[in-house]
Amino acid sequence: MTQNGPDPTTPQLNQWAVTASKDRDALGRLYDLSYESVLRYCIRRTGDRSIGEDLTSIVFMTVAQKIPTVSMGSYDDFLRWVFAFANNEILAHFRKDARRSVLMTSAVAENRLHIPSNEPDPIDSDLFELNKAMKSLSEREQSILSLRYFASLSYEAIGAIHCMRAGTVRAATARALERLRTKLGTQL
Amino acid sequence: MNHKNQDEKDWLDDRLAKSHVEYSGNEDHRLELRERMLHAFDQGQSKRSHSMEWSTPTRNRSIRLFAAIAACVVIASSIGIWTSLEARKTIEVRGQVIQDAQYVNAIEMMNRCQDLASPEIYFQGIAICAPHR
Repeated sequence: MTQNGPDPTTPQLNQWAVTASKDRDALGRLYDLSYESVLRYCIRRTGDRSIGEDLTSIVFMTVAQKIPTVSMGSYDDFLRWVFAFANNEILAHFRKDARRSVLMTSAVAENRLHIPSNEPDPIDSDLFELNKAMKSLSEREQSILSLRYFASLSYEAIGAIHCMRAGTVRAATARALERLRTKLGTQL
Repeated sequence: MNHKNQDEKDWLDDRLAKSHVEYSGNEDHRLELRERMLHAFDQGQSKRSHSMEWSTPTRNRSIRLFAAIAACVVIASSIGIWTSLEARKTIEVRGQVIQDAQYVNAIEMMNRCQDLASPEIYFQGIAICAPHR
């Protein structure tokens, strides 16, 4: 259900995607439909709500800037395009985070900074274990699982984002789930 | 989504549902971002439409540029025509281009004589003219 009424039909969705480059109303409708799944994807990938919101903001501001120069044929095209931005932003965030982490580690090693122990709260331990298990997967596997199960994208759409064939995505999803199950099974 | 996929999703959701991370959207964030995004879109549209308008200074510049290009074309054409007319004044004899007007006149005179069909006389005439160059 959209904010203002019943679910739009596929032709309506495709029409909005086609006209969104010139029509603010169509862009607004596409935003209403995709905001939740993009936000959910960013939060799932980063494990942090505020970072997820920041990344979602960056993604949609980029969409607003670039959409007039892009021609899309369907709503699926729009989703592929938006999630490709989201994926790029998340990877950029991880790269920055890794650099920060190196700086923090060196600062702690030189006694310039004290970081309290981050032992998980018992309440959060399940989340902690799950995040740990998710983190043990490769970046691509984490992304594929999040796109598939939390953004509900098709294997074809995920393939387009990651430059993979749909069959390869399907196999990678199965492998990643199996590894996640094994990890969680041995941890708990 | 088929039954197996739904099971997998349920399984993952079940794991993640225990987390304290909320993934449902924050309405304030959603609305604020919507407004900012559409504002950025409007600004982009307005910039684009503005850039499409042909302001007077731009038009004047374009007219001057066009006039300069047209003048260059006219001058180049004139030079080309003049050069080709000049080229017509030369005559090639046995692979040699002869440009001397006087010499050319002599050959033209020979060309007009009835013995022109005889190559011997023709080239004799050239031999006579040559020392005077």
